[in-house]
Amino acid sequence: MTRTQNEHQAIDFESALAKVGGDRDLLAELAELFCQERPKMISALERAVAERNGPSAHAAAHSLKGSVAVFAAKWAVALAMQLEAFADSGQLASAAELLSELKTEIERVCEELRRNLSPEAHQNDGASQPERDGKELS
Amino acid sequence: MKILVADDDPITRRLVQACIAQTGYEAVVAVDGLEALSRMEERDSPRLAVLDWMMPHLDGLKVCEAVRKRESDAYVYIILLTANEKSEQIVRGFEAGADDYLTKPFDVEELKARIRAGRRIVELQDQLVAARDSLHVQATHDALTGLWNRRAILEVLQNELARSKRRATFPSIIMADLDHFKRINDGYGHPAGDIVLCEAAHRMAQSVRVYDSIGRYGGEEFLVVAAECGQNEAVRVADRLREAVCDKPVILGAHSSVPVTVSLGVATGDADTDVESLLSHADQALYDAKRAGRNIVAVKTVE
Repeated sequence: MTRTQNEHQAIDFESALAKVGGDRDLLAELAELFCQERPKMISALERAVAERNGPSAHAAAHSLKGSVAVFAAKWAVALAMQLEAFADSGQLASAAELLSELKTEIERVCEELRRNLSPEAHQNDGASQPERDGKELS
Repeated sequence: MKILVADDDPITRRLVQACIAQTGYEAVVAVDGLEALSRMEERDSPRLAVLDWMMPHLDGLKVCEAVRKRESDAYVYIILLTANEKSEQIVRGFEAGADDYLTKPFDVEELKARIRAGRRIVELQDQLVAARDSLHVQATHDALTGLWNRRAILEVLQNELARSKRRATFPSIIMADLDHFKRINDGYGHPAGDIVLCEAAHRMAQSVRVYDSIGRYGGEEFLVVAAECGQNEAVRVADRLREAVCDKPVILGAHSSVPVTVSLGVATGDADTDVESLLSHADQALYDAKRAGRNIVAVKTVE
């Protein structure tokens, strides 16, 4: 499950926007909430994996999967799902290996969300995504 | 109408909350199954619930099962949110009591449409319950006076006798008949007769004890079932009814009123008395009261 960064889009922005009925404000609100909540969600998962608590890790990965699915973050969903499966079958070591990859991917999801939802991106709606530093635009 | 959303994932929770707000309803939020269940036990609880299948502490399936076990007229429409669509699991969801399901990630328009469909079912259920309740009232109450009707008051009597038997107490009944009612009908007309019936019924209903029941037994005849009430107490109740009825004339219109009196027969039985014998004794007592000049209470004890 290794791949190089930037080889893919972390989120399918158009598809995520379509799923919320084209409501850009709602998607922006969800994105902001996600970026805010992600340290908590990730640390819950990390703690469960570190404590080798399969059911907790499973629940945390499942919840995280639900979150990233809202943003059509295919790769993050796949990683979370794999982690969920490892946790479910008690393979916590394999789960631990996936964790850092999932964390990196989640950061990319946040970054792409910010970039897509920035006021500038809104102005050139539909234009190709500019390479901007998402953080200053959040 | 309130709608419950229960999901441990904050993003999905917020998204469902937004959908609920967009459909014009009030969202009640729970972060896990236990909280969902306690939200559903509150007063004026949500009638529609969007539950995540997989939640900590108590999953959506268990919440479904718990909700369905309750005995309540207020049907709760449940939409399960699931992350996988394996058909045997969907079947389990429906068997647990879910009405509908949606696979995550879902389309908001689809969820909103499903919420609206659920709302229709809930409304239909409410209409059925209201119709049933109204039919029940119609079937057990006298349309004119609003008191129990003959069938219902006899059922009350039957239950009271069964209770007297269990507790070895004395059951008493009072049969009340308006005096010279025919004269009122003939002299003032049937609408006036109806006014007198209603007013007398109202005065008597106000004068029985809270645990007594009163019904319209026949035309101008009323039956009071006095709960756990010996003869002396029953006579006191009957006399209160008599006084209440004759207390002041019944007003028929701006310039007309008519004096009304009632005769009453009290019968008290023991633990072995049956309905028929108690009724026939009350009838005889009522007959005695009429013969003694009316506006009187007479008593008959079942031997």
